[in-house]
Amino acid sequence: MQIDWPTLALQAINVLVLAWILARFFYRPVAAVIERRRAEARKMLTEADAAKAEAQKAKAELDAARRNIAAERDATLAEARKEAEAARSALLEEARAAAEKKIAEGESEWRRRRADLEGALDQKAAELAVDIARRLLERLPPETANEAFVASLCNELQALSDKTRSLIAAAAARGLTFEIVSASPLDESQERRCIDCLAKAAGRTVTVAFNTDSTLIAGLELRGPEIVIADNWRCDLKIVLEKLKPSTEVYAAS
Amino acid sequence: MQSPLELTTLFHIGPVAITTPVATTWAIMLAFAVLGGASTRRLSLLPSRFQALLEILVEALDSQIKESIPADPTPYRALIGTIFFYILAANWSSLIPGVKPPTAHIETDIALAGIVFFAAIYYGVRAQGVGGYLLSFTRPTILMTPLNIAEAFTRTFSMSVRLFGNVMSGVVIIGLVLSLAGLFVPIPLMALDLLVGAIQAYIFAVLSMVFIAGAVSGEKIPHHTHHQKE
Repeated sequence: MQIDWPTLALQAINVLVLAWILARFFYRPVAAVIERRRAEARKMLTEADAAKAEAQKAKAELDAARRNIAAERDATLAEARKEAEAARSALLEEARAAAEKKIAEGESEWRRRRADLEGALDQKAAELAVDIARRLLERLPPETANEAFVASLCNELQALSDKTRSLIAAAAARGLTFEIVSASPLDESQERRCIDCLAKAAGRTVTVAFNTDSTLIAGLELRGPEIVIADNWRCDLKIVLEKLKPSTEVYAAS
Repeated sequence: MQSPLELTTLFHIGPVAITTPVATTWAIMLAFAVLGGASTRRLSLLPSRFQALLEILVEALDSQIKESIPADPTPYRALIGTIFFYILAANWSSLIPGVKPPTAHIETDIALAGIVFFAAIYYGVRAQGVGGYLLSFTRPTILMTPLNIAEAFTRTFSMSVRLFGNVMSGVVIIGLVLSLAGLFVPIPLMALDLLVGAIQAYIFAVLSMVFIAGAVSGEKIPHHTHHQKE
């Protein structure tokens, strides 16, 4: 067996050249593309990590913003609630004031109407009383009623105080005229008795004028410069009405 | 019948006789160059199925290298990959009628083993320096130095003879059976020869990696690895 050295050398060279060819046209390009893909993958992973970190950061910011929004919303709601409460209170206060004003106005109106009504009722009652009195007096002879009232006037004059008597006397001294008004005309004797009673009270002669006024219903009224003696039913009815008023007020208040 | 050890000269280039293994190797080189150039012309980040297959080949090669040499496989990829693919292609070239595998001639096998021998020295010196590489022959004891030096040559010899013996024997057996029996009788033997060819390519590449790894790391090759045989 012989070894062909040129063939051996050529084969060695051939294998080395083949190694170069394969390295140049096969291993390197394939390894390069593998490495490039790895680099791309690493880059993508890095970018993905960066994007993930960015996303997490954005999420954290979003969460913070959401929390802020929630806090702002709560604050705004609280503020709105507070304002609404204030507005409601103001409206309630306003409504209450308006209602109270209305009630006061109503009460005032009611009082005024009641007063008017009471006045009208008083008037009606007075008229009714006058009417009743007049009807009752119509049953009596006028001279009989006047007789009683003349006697009553004389009693009144006799019961006057000294001071009043001196005032009447002073008026008579100055020549002033007294007026005696009756509901129906007096006869002469009754006039005479009136003048006498008055002169007795004044302690001197007096000048008296006699007039009639049907609104007195019944009775007399002495009108002088310093004195008025009312002894008639109109005056009595007025006094009665005045005395009745307090009980009416109490009834209205309740 | 022509002796399997005999070389056939096809033609001469000047004084150099171009024999059949050389011509076959050139054909294999041409095929690899064309296939390699064509297949890697349009590589993209989104691989086609064919590109994925190429990448799997390179990844598997790198993975095998990394299992033997714990370092970046790039410097060793071209040599180890070429040894494997060339021996595989050479062994399987016997499928083409009239073609005799270049590895069935001892010159090709010695050339391959010689390349591994010098590559181991180159990578060893590059990794450890001249002194470090030479010191690696004194391990585990200085008494082992002659044996280690002898081993460097004997393992190269054993690699070349192992490959030569396996491939050549297959060629001879198939030739003998073909001359004695009918047309289809050698087919099972040819299938077996393909398997043997692939195994031999793998063994040669693995042994090359182991020797280079031993030279790079400065440690001697474990005995059971050194004497792998089919």
